[in-house]
Amino acid sequence: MIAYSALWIAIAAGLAGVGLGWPWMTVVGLLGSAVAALLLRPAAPTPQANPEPASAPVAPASSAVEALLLAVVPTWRSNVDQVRQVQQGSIGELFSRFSGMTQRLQQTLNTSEAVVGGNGMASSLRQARDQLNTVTGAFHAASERKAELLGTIGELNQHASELQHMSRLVQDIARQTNLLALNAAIEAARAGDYGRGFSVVADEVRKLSTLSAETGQDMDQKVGEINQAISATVSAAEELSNTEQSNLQYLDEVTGEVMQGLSASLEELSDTSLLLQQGTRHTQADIEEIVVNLQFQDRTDQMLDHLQQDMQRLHEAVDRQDSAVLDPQRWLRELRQRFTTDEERHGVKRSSASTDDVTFF
Amino acid sequence: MGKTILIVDDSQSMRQLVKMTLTGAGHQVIEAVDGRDALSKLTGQKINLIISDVNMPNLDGIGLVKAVKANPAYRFTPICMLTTESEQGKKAEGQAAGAKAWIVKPFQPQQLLSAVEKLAG
Repeated sequence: MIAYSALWIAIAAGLAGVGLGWPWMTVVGLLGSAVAALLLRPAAPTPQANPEPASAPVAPASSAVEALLLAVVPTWRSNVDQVRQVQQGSIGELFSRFSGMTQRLQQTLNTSEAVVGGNGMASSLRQARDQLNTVTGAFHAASERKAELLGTIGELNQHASELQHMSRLVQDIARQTNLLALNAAIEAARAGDYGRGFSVVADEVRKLSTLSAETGQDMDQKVGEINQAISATVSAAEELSNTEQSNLQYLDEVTGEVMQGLSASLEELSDTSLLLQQGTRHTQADIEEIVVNLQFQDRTDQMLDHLQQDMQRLHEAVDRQDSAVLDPQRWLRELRQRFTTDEERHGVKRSSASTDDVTFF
Repeated sequence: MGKTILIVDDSQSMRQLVKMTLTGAGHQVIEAVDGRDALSKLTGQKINLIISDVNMPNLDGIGLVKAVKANPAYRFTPICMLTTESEQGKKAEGQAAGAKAWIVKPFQPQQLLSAVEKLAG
């Protein structure tokens, strides 16, 4: 009865081991099944005082267990094989997806670094600000040159005023000359025939003085007109200059506001981009760590492979009625010789990758 | 400059991971599913480095190292073992056969790339 219980417990343990992915439990279950099966072999009949009447013949229990093992072990192997294939496919798909994610994250990182980096948008905005400053500087310089020109025109006005004064002086001189010529003509008339020639000269002088007075008057008039034109020019230029100053002031204000706004946006963009880059790098590191951890599949695949091989060995041993199944210690020794992972050898999970895991010869 | 690297592993997912790591760094990759397949793919190829698993069907990693070292055309091609095996005895066996490096899985991509740089750079 105990042997029967042990048999079914062992089979259940083996199945649970496959289901939970614990190869050790499966191996122990299989070995337990084999040992229990051997214990259930029919023993030699013992003499009894009152033997019971013979019942209908039944198949020996060991034969039943052997038949069971021969039937189920190939199914177990097939199931383990399916598990391995599903794992391979799924992990391969995960690697592929993570690879795509890593590439897209790297592209995002490159784009972000290009936007706020050395030759990116930040640099373009700085260049735009410098060029704008150059342009407004040129406007200010031109305005200063105009102010100097206005000063020079103002000086012209003063020179014209002096010219006007000089033309009035010429008119005074002409008037006095005219008066002198008139006196000379009177004196010449008094002198009679002796003064006739002098009278002609005095008359010519008077004509010249009249002409000088007229010329002086024309000059005075022209200089007056020039003065007015200059005053009007200066006045218009001053008005333009005032408008220009006001425009320049407005340009400075607008430029300052625009650049301040751009700088603030740029700073915000830089901060956001840096946060994005930081987050992207963290995600990349996380994916890399996930990919490292997903390599567990290679280890479990090898463990399942060893398990499959041992199932095959058990199947063949039971089929051949091999005495190896009677020596569990020997069976385990041979099983352990095929182990390749720390989990199989020591029953502990291998820690994540470290620098100790690389050896150069 | 990218190298041509032969990766040998019976696990498709591991080949995929190693390939992903190497091609991402600009290397070209040739894949083989075991030692025997690797020897057939070596013929006529200019290979800068072989990265091989140890436990494989048909011809295992140690057998592959011995076969490559016995081939005059490839005897100087460096070989790096990439395996779950961490036992010193197995490492010594690989070293004696002629392997140049031994990396235990799981590996960090940067570890593998550093080893590639050191062995084939």
